[in-house]
Amino acid sequence: MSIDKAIAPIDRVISGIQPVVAQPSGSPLADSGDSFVSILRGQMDDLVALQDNAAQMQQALAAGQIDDLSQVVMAVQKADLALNFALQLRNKVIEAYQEVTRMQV
Amino acid sequence: MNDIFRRLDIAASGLTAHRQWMDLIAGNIANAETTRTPEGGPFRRQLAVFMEMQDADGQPRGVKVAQQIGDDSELRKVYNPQHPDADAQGYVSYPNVDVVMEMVDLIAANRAYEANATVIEAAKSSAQRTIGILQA
Repeated sequence: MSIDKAIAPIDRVISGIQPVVAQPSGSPLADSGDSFVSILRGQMDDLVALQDNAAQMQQALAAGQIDDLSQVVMAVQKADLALNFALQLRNKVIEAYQEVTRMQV
Repeated sequence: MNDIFRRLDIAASGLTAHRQWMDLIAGNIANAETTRTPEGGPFRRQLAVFMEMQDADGQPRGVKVAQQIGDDSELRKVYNPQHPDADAQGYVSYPNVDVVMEMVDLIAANRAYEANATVIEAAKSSAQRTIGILQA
């Protein structure tokens, strides 16, 4: 197998991830200095919304207001995946920051 | 954000729809000998009609139970003049529910539910696998 063929699947995976990460309007870095922060904040808002939804569903389930267990499980699962993703993102950012602080001047 | 969870949502709609189907089957088995209903007449076997859900742009959104219909096939007639619901000839109309058929449907619904649950597991593990790329 040639190297090109071996890399192709990885390329496809990355191109699949990019639409999720990329902002819809142009390059985020070209806009202003705090774009990365605003992206992060937007993602955090989404995460909080998912967590809130999961919490509300659990409360409704405990109160006997929900007859479909799978909806609750899905809400919790989504919140869990989003939190995991946010956590990994945070680790990456901290890692990058530490990398910069350790830089020899 | 919603597109990331599309697979989860589709499979979850399958869970909901098949759970509703199982509810109908449970009702059919429970009412296999029921001769009275609020609408009058004996109970009729209830069937679930599934319908595909789509976005405005034709993207799949899963499945739902579009409607619940009564089976119009012939009712079971048993001669029992003492029964309060017997007709003038002494025959009682029992529901057109065949418990064996319902058990077969129950197995099918159960397997379909499991299949949808497996899709959810696969979607979950692929998402976790993708997030795992960040670790290292």
